[in-house]
Amino acid sequence: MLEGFLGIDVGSVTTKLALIDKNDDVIWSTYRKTKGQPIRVLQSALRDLSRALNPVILGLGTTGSGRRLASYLAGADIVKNEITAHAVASIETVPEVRTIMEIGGQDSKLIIIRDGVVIDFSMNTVCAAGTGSFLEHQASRLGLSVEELGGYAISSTKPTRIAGRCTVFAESDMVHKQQMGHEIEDIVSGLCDALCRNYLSNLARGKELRDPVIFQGGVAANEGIKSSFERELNKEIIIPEHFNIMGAIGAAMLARELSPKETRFRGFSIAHQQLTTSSFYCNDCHNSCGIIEIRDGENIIARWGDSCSKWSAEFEKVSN
Amino acid sequence: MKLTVPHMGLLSVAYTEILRKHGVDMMPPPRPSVNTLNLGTRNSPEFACLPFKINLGNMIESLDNGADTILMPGGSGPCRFGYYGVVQEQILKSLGYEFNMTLTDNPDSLSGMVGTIRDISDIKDKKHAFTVFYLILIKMAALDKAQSMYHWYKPREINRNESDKAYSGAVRTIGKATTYRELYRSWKEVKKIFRDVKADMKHKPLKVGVLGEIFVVIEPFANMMFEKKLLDMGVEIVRGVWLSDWLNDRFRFKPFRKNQNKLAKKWAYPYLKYASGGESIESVGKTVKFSREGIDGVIHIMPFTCMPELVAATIMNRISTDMNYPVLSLTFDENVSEVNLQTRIEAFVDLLERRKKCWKVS
Repeated sequence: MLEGFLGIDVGSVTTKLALIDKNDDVIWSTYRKTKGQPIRVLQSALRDLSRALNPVILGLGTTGSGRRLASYLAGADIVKNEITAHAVASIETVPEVRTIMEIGGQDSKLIIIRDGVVIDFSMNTVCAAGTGSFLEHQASRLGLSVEELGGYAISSTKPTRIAGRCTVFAESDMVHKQQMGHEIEDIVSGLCDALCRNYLSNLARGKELRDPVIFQGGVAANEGIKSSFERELNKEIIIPEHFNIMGAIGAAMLARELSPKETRFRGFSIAHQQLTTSSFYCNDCHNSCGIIEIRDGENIIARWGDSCSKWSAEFEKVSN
Repeated sequence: MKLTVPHMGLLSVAYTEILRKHGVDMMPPPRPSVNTLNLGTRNSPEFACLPFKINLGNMIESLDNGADTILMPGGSGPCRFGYYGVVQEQILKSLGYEFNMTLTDNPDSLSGMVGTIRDISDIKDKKHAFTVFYLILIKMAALDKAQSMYHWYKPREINRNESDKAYSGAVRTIGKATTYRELYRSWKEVKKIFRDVKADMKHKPLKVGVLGEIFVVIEPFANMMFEKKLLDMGVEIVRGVWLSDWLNDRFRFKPFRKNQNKLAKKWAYPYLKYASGGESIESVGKTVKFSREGIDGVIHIMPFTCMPELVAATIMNRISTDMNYPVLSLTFDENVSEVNLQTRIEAFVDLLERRKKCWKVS
């Protein structure tokens, strides 16, 4: 019987699952679009996993912006934020790493590491300029698929300068440059440069980026961004083998580190349940917290979101 | 006259009952909520800071509830705040409200505050007004002390949420006191309440220092209850900013508590040599102090567009590099996403934990 630790990373745009064995080797993984339906996607991913390998899950870790949803749904042993999860996975893959750049669907992060310990991090706050969603949108506007963008970018020799402060301005600048008659390769390459400048000025301000630098997250698939970073930083950039599922691998590693005696994983049967979510505002005090419920048919299986634990008390909380 | 004062943390608990007893028809605004913020944001200049917006929202809510007099600290404040009362009066007048605005022209001066109490209450005797004012100050100090006890007990509690109940009970008990004797008795009761909380005395939780702009630090709504989030993760909070300290620096009602501002100035040397408004010197000075005292890291919070704290944040970045000490700066306004905030705090706490475990620091 195959045994392993499962990591689930429910991101804003994609959902990632990774199954690792006791030696941290990835046995199975999946990367699929969330499409705004995290529960449905998670269920289908679990269904595929049980069909393909039907493994025994020894521990489950969740991460990503939907980590709490996933943990209530599947019964996680450990719930961690994506910064820690990414750092753990990268340190395991490249032990001497000192800088991690991660660009995902809607957020970008920079993690600074010294001697295998995170010492500083930053995350985009108000603007999603330069993240995966924006790239995808621009690709479709230019009539390309997001995978093709990279190839176009590196084939350019004279990148056009695109204003990258803000996605809306970047888009209008791109339209303008197109209408002026710049070649599409140059525009795409200029866009990569702009995003890379934007990332560095937003997140890396006042931080020292030392070698080795790892670049991961969905956007790392884009060759153009990688070469822009290399040019800008004048450093070699490492893209790990599993760059797009590093968060899920990190979550699985954290579960392995914890190695619970008995996992809280609810089993693959949850993949076949009729799960629905609903939410309401509790108006018993001035906080007016938004309460979220997950139901299996009529039964409420989880409830959270309150700050006084009045609603969530009966549903056991998973420690952070 | 129905008097209202915008909320600032627990301050309203300190004065409401006492002033009521002396003939002031107090009408405290509802606790800041999403509604307050919406009202405030809609009617404020965009780049006014979060305290301005919450204050204004509170004023509108009170006026809608029937208040006709607003008391607001003003004068040569520590930052733009000194001018807020005047601007808010203009905004409210242009919205068509009719009311009186009492600005305490000089909230730093004793005679000014005693004068204000004589103006609004039925106390005409100067000496009496003085004792009432000091009672309010001491009550505020008691409330702050209760909160710091809560910060200590919460991460060590054995039964979940027991200390939350103790804390809200303590605030209620102190809030009722209207004389020195009652305050003394209520304090004894508070000590008993906290003694009854079952706590693991040997547990050594992570300690995080909280510094920053005073309104955002002490008003839980303004900082999206971020202290509660930290406490729920089992972290002990060591706060560097207290309203009673701020008051004590001005009115010296706690003779054995040193002037925190002067101390901070000493600690801040040579990073910041003079006060640059707001709580900037406290933020810088206490970061240095916390780093020496074995507190694991500092979270520095400020409202968006807060100039003094922005200055402090830049300097604290430098201290962080120099002393290899973790500092996280967080900015708050009406557009902050709670998910993002939660992720940052969790990641910061993880950072401190791993750092402590792997490097055996402090």
